[in-house]
Amino acid sequence: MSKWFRSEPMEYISLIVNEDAAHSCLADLGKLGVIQFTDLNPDLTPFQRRFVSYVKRCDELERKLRFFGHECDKFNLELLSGDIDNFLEQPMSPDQSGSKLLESLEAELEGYENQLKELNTYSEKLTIEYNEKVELQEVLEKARRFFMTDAPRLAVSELTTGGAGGKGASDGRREGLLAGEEEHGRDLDMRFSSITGVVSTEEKSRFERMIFRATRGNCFVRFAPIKQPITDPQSGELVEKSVFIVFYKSVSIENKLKKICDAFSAHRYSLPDMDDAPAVDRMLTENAQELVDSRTVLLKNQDTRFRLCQMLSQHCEKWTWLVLREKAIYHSLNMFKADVSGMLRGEGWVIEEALPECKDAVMRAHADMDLAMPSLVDQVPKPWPTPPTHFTTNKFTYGYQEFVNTYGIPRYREANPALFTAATFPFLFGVMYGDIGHGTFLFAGGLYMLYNEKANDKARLGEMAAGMHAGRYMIAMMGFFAVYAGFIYNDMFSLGLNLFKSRYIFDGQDNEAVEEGDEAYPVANYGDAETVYPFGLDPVWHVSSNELLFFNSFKMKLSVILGITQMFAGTCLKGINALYFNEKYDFFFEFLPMVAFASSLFIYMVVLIFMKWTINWNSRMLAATCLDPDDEGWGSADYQEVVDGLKGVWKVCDQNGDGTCTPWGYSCSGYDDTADKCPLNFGGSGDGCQPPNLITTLINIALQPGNVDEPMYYGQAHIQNILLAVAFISVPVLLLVKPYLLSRDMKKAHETHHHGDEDEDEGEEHGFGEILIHQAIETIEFVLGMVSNTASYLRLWALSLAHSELATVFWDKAMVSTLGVNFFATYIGFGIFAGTTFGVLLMMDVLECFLHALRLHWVEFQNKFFKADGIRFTPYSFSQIIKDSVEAS
Amino acid sequence: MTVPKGIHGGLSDFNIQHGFVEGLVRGMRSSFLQDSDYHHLTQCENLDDVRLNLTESDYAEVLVDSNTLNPSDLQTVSIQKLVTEFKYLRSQAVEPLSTFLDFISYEYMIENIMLLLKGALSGRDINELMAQCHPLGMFKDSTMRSIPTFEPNAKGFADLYQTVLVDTPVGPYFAMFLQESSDKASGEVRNVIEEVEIEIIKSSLIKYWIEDFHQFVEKLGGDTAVIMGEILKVRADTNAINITLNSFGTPLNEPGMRTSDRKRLYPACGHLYPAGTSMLSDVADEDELGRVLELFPQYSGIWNVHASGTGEKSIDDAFYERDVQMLELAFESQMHFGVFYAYVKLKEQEIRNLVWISECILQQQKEEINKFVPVFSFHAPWRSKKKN
Repeated sequence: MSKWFRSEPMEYISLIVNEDAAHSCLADLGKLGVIQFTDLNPDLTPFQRRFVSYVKRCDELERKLRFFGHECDKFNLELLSGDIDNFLEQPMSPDQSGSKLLESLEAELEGYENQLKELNTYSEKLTIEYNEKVELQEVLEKARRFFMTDAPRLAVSELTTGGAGGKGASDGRREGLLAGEEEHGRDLDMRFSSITGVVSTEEKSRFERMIFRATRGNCFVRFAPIKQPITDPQSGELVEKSVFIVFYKSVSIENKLKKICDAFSAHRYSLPDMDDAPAVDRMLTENAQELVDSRTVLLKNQDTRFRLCQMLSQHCEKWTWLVLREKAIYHSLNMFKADVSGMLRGEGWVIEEALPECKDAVMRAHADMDLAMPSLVDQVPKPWPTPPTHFTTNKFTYGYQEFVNTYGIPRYREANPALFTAATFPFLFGVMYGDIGHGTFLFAGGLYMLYNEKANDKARLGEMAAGMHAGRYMIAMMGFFAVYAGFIYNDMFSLGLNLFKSRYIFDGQDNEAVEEGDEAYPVANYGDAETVYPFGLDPVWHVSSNELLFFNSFKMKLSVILGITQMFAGTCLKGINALYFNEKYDFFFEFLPMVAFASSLFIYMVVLIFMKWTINWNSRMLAATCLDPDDEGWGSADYQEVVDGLKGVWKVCDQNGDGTCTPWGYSCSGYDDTADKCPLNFGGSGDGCQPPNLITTLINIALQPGNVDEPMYYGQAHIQNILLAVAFISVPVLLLVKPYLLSRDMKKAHETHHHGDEDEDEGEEHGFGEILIHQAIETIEFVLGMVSNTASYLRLWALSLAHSELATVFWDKAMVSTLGVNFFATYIGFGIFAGTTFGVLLMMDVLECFLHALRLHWVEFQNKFFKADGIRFTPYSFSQIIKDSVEAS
Repeated sequence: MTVPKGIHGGLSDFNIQHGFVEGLVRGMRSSFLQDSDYHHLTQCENLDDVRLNLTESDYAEVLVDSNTLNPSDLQTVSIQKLVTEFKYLRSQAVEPLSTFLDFISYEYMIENIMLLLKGALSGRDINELMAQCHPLGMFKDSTMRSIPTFEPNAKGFADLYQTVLVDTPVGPYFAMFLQESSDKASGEVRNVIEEVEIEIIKSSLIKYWIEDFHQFVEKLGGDTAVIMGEILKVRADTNAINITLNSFGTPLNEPGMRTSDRKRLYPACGHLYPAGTSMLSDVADEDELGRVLELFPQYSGIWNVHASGTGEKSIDDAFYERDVQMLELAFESQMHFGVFYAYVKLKEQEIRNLVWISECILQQQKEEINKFVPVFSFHAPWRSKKKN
């Protein structure tokens, strides 16, 4: 846990390696993934760098691999995916790395690429041939059918129209088309020329329209769809096509039609004379034979391509990873600088713990090479640049660390809020979402994700699912705390659970004689162990008329207590940071005044809340009540020890007033005020016997110092004055002392180091103003922030109230109101209840409470100490690079 | 194309309808190459270096699969990229922005038609021609292939319109052209060369397009009318000046043709219209043109670049420079459609720059390499002038 509290210590090292061994060095370091190289050649553009040619070769290889991927996609082949860790664990033999690896890969992939491209070209050619055959076959068949079935009918209609002068209305369309021609040229041998071909169905209507426009309607077009879609040779997609046949009369139309056919890339097929049936049949059989042949060839080609792709799909991923690894190595080498002859020098941050491993890796690489030149891994002399922040996380802490990182990366070695967030975030969520029923659903959801953890780790998830997966522990914990808070509130779908039997009873509740307005009584006297409900709140509150008043008071106080505790913890972290970084001024003149201010007003408020809870007001108020000693109330066990010496013993007074006495023996006159009747002597009008209104009390600390109307303990006014004074003094200390000390230090440093440098002088004065403004902002933020942030924590109460009220409404309106009607209404009512509970409470309210808990951490908690200006450690690591590329694809 | 009045352009509802698309285009603005990128590019020794440099820019993705780079490939892929972006914007746009975006693409359609017709005259292969067409102005494959099949005479054009172009959005412009020429020609045999004829058709179509676009923009009103109107007016003037300048030494400059044919090509909007264009129609040579432009201060500067004749800058460069300056300004104000036009045109300029630089590198013309008009540059003449 201490490792998670502060980021990993970093070392800035320089490593000098032999140029020949550099590659294997970096291959080992990339496997470790603990070093982040600094670019030593920032002024060089990418193409001026040393190893740019290798990077280019890697790019080229990647392009080839992408090409393979596309080809495999065409056959719906999944790329075989292996395990990244296994891949990285495989040892690299010397001939399997560096330029040798690149060369062999290049040769291999080049071969496959050419092979694949060649096959593709063949495939294209073969598909075109095959398509032609198929189309011709279709055209022949369709045309024959047309001439066999449609044409005779046309001819008949021709004859009938000619003979009978326009009878037969059913054939009207054809008549209209052919009648004109026929009347003029009937005696001539009436033959139309025709063009047949195939056009894609998608273009059919445009094609028809174009022909109509171009020929001004002087032609007759027929279409027949081809049932089987035809493969487009280039894209490999299936296209629906139709056979068309166009009849026309003149040569000029023929030219136009041909042009249109070309424009629509419609293949034309010339037909034999259709009247010559044997010729057509012969052509059909011949073509069918050819079709079978070309089909075989095409299938064979396809099979070869498929096998090649299948083989490629087995290896593609491994190759991609190899190339990515090589590319990463050369990228990193590009950041190195050439040192003395044959040596390369690199600098970078390394995790302190992993430094020996790094040294080993470099040594080993050189030893393998058997090189005379020694390598060197050493710390760079300080001062170092700002170190990056790195936390070693596990699957539980990862989610919370990311949660904090989203706001800002922690400064190097500063206190990490994620450590605390891991506990407080789900807890505060639970406080807002507290409900046993809803919480159980959430908890179950979280547990389900934990159950599926291993499967989800490997699966490729969508953005949303991946986010939920990353926060699976958080969700489970949120659910757990929601259940816990639900038990504390005793709230399940807005109903109380009578788990331990209520400690209040109604008179006659056993014989169902309770009416609205009846009072419930505790089962025993106040203070008896029996009256205490063992866990959470007594369910009787859910049926009481002051339910809301009671819950609100409880939850508000709870919010303030939790809020002040968390903020104070945040302030303490500031102190711990100051101590850790040895910043004395921060500790003494920032942290301590802050603690003083916060304690004197806000911690004191928490103390008052607890005090009011712990005082036995029953007894105290009874002590200041006038009772007749003869009444039955006299001698009640409620009157217990109020002050030392008055040990709950009833004392009869001399009864010389109106005949009544207080339990401690004061004789009442009937006109006494509380201060007279109260045995305590705390001052004010209540004198200690009256429960105070805490809000008024707190406000009056500042508005009427020294005046406490309803004190709870002796000397409260006095103590509050002291606290107020402390708070007032702490503000100027916070504001002024640190800037003053800083400027004094600067002056001193200036005097000892350089004398009379006027430029520096100006800069410093400027600096002092800046420091002061900065400090003023910090002071204002803290002082005002304590007030407004405390108020902000009231959202814990508000959200919890909203949650329980919504649940109440859904239950009352959807369930209770329909339960009494009939079964169908209940059926519908439950549907509505379940739907709204799921949609509003389990979805929207979870998000809302999540958001508010998030805000409480990011703003109220973290602004007390969190600098959040760190730089993220991005190590040079193969597994990270490969994971990223897998995710990106 | 009827646009309900006042449904866009207001502060109150612009963002509801067009806010997302405008946000997109403003985001794309950050993809323009910067001064430092241009600086690096001009330092390159060969085209591989250019490619390497572009991997740091937005062009990385489109270049990643091309193994060798040459200027025309670069042009193709970068225009393709622009078109992809434009199509994405178009698919997100609602009326009237969608019509506005369509108007932008009409210009490219006109250019493509003309390219096909011109190519058919010189008998070039249709596939080769189609590869040259601008992808923003593409019709359906079959439409493109039908265009060059008509004969290049008045009847052929009429057929072309009736059979093919009537289906396309630029059909109406062609119809207007046919109407006008039949009004005028009425049997009179034209003796202009066919190549010139094509240029004339193109100029008239562009003229109709500008006028139509301008009218549409005026109807939209608001800032769009102000900003886009100004851009189109300058565009119209540029066309008028260029037509006049290019007509010298062609039959169009013959006294008889000046008013009858040349004047008809001047768009009926713009700063020069109507006084300027009527003066332009009488111009016979460059000196006279210069004298006319002297009267219009915004163009006299550009004309002087041409008239000085030092050869350092052509009049085209001067116009480009002015365009870039004006189009950059379109990005300075919000809630208007001008940015979309400006984005397309500025990207085109950037692509021209890239092609110029890579051509210079390829042909070892290092001294010429800096002759381009950078976009959103801090060294642009109009910015550096202010600084001094």
